[in-house]
Amino acid sequence: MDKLLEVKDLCKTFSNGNVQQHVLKNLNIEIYKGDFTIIMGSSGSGKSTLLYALSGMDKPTLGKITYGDEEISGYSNDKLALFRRKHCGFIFQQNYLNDTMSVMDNIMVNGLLVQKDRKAIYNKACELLSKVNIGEESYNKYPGQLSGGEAQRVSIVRSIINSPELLFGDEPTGALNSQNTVNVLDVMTELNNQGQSIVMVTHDIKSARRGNRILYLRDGVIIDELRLDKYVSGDRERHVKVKEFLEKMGW
Amino acid sequence: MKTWLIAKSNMKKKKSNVVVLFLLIMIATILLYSSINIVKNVGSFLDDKNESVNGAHLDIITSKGFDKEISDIIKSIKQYDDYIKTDTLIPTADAKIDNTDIKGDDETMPVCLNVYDPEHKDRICNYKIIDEGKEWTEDSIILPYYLKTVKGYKTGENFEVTIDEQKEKFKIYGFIENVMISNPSTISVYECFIEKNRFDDIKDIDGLSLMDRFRVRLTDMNKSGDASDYFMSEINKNVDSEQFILYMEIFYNNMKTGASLFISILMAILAIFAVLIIAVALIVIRFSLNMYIESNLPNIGILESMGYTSSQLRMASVIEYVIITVVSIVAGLLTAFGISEKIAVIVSNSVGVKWESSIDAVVIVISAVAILSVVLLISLLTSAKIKKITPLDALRNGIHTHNFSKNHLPLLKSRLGVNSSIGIKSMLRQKRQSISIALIIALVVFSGVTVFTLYYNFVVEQDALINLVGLEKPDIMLKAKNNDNYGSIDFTKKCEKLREDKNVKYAMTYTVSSMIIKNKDKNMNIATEIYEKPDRVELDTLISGRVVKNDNEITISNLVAEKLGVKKGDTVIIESSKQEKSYVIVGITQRTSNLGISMVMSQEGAERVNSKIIPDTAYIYLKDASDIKGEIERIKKDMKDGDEISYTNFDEIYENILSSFTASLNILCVVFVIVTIVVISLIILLVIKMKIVREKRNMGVFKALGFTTMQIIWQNVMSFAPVISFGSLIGVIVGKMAVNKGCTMMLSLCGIAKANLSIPWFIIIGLFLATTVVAFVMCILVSTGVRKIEPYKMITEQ
Repeated sequence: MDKLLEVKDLCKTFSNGNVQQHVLKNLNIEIYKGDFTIIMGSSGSGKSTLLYALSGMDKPTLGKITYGDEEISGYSNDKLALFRRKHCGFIFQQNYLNDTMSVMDNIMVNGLLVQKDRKAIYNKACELLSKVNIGEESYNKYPGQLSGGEAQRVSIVRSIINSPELLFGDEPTGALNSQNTVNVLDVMTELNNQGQSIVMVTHDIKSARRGNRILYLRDGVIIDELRLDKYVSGDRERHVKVKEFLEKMGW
Repeated sequence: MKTWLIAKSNMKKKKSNVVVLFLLIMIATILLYSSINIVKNVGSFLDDKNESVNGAHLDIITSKGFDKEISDIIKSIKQYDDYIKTDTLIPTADAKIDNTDIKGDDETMPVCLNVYDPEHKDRICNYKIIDEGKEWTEDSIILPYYLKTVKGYKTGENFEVTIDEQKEKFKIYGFIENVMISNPSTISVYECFIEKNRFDDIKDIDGLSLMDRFRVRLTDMNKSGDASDYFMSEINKNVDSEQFILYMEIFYNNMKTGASLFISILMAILAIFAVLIIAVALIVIRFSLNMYIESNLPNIGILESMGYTSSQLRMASVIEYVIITVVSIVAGLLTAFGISEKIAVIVSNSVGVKWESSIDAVVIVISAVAILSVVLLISLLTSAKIKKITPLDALRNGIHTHNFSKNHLPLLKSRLGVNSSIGIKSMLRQKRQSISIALIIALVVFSGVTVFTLYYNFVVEQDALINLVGLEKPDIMLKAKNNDNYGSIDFTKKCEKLREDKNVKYAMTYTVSSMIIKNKDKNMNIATEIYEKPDRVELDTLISGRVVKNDNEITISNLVAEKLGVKKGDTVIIESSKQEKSYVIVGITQRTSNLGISMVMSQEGAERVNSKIIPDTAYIYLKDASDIKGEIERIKKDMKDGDEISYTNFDEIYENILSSFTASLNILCVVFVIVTIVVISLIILLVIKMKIVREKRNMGVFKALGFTTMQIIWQNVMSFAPVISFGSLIGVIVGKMAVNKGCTMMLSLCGIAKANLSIPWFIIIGLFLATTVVAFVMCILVSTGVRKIEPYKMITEQ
């Protein structure tokens, strides 16, 4: 398996006056190419903190994060921005689409960060939007005029418009109803099947099932992990395996 | 009490906005109070000043030997109260003054020398001496207060008066304030007082003429114009002698208006600045309130869910701004009282009389109520938004007021870079805010065009000012050195000879004669300007018709036309020395000097009504005026008439006449530059700060997506800089088109129908570029605040 991201002795401490909170403690993990990695854990275990440290959105307090040959943990904010632009895509729990821009502009604005050919970005956006079932009639709508599921699917297209090597999801279905959750997860699964590496934080077992690797975090430390095959719809055995693993973790 | 607690907490939360508002309202209060105070009180101040020394209402200087006739006429004035007659020395030759303790301050200006006797002070014009010296000696001289304020002269310094190359040395003993002869822009003469024996010693020197001075008190100073008209008409009727010279006849109302005119215009401009700053403060309140509502929706929701009514929350916001405004007004008024001495210098420079500031309760109330009421109105209107917020809306952070109607500048079609496109999209989306900003900038820049145009025309080039003042400006003026020579020197012949000089562009004779102009039952006495060739006069004061070409033609100023009820093409009767002739009005002119009263005719025209009128002055216009002093020496040598004729460099006289304007305008320009930079900076600071608060999340997401801080700063710059540049462009364009009209409106007080100010392109382009650059730099500086936005926190905080 090709290693995409390597984390060594990662620590993250938040300070508030004299009070210090150690959220991540000497954490070591590797993220592999093509994997759909799920990070689970109870509230306050440090799931999101780990995700944002891995993605270069936040800087670690201690430790080393290496992406390929690049050690990103010492990068400045602007260098991290360039790193994210080049290698990462993000889907957040809230869609975080820019509510002052149309659907198409929300996608174009990300695409134009990497390439200048507007027509090519537009064509790719149209192709991706159609894959996530967003019709042409929605291109000029504003995020406020879309349903939650539609907006989240648009945010997925925004996140992959630059074909990132690694797609990060921070509970991307957390704010959606069950039907929209399935739709979004289907899109992500499809992307993974096409070779997209994904790291996703979730506390939902249905979402966790989609991954082929589940890391369980407790008190800032990964206490165990579960390896699975690629997701296939209707795989009952997979569900049982995930459930047992999580129960074992005390979830 | 509850609302006060909320207001207090709000103020604590937005300290920077409170400071900005405090500063703006304080500056506006200082400007508004000071300007209204001066405009309101300058007239009564001058009246009080004049009355405190039992000042004259008519001041008349005539040749000797006519005191009986003159005093009879004075006593027959309806409003006559009292008069004194004194001797005075008037230079008939080139007169120079020089404070020898200050290098390079010598100037050419007529001086009127009078006797001062500390033991027997004059009954009328019993001046108080400012900075009085210790000992009154034969060397002592008392100077006008104007020379102390504008030139910085001090008691004890050495002072020299040069009459026709003969130097008289003095020591400055002190300064006096005379409202009637306060500064050279009202009347071009310095009134000085010397010791009696010294006066007697120098009275016979060449170039000085001993004359009678009549200072008259009236029972009603407001009727001084009528008294002057009566006096002049009686002189025309009763004094018919070639020996009679009326050197000066001025009346109180005329001189008072002249002295206070320019400071009133300056203060009007300051008041406009104050209004501008108040407008900016109101916009700050709007921004600040909107920002508070948007960024505090959950808190509003919580307070409403606890049972606070929207009216209580609204009242808390209103109280907050009322408190800030009241504190700022008090601070502004206290500062205005504190800096009143500095403001007094500006006023004293312009008026020529020591301005003593007083606290005016009416002006305090006017300024405070005006500012407070607009603040109250705007905060009530803006806070009305709170009424529409339900607790649920607020708690969900969810009032969506965004207009989805149009997607401006779709990124697919935009030819600009992605960051520029995002910036411009944001600018177009917030149309109302962009229009407000553009409007304020346009107003500020328009004021800038006005101030710099006035500065350019009044200080740098001065041609427009010369045309407005309405006094012809030759390069050299020739006059007889001694009044005894009056009539014996043929200036017409001199001019003929001068016209043959290779360096002389033109030369012509000039004189002033008092005449009565009549139309039906109306008549006016006017000091008529008589030129040998009125069509060669360089002054351009004509607003309609043409200049005088024939001997039966005259031009009159618009104020004269108005008073007599005549217009261009009408025929009027002119009377001089009891003789009458009819003349056609061929043109209407305008001027500020002599309160806008003017009549011009040709020498031939003057002789047509009174053959005894002969020219007493020659004007020389040089082909190259770069070395007037050198040319004077050369012409004097060629003409060989230096003994009987004085040659005056007119350029220097004019410079002194205009110096009171230039001193005040310099200060005004500095005030403008500071106000502009403060206003532009504050606007940018607020709108960008508000944008950062409003769009914090979007900016955080942009950062998460991979936008760098510089890219987001550029987006901000592009969302404001074009608006400011556009506002600036509108300001300069409107300024270019309307400044003349605006200035004419201000000058219409003294009969100016058109200002004819030249507005050079470098002012237009310079102001546009300067505003744009300041805006650009400020946008970048203020936008650096986005550095603090961390994408991770933005997302996790939601």
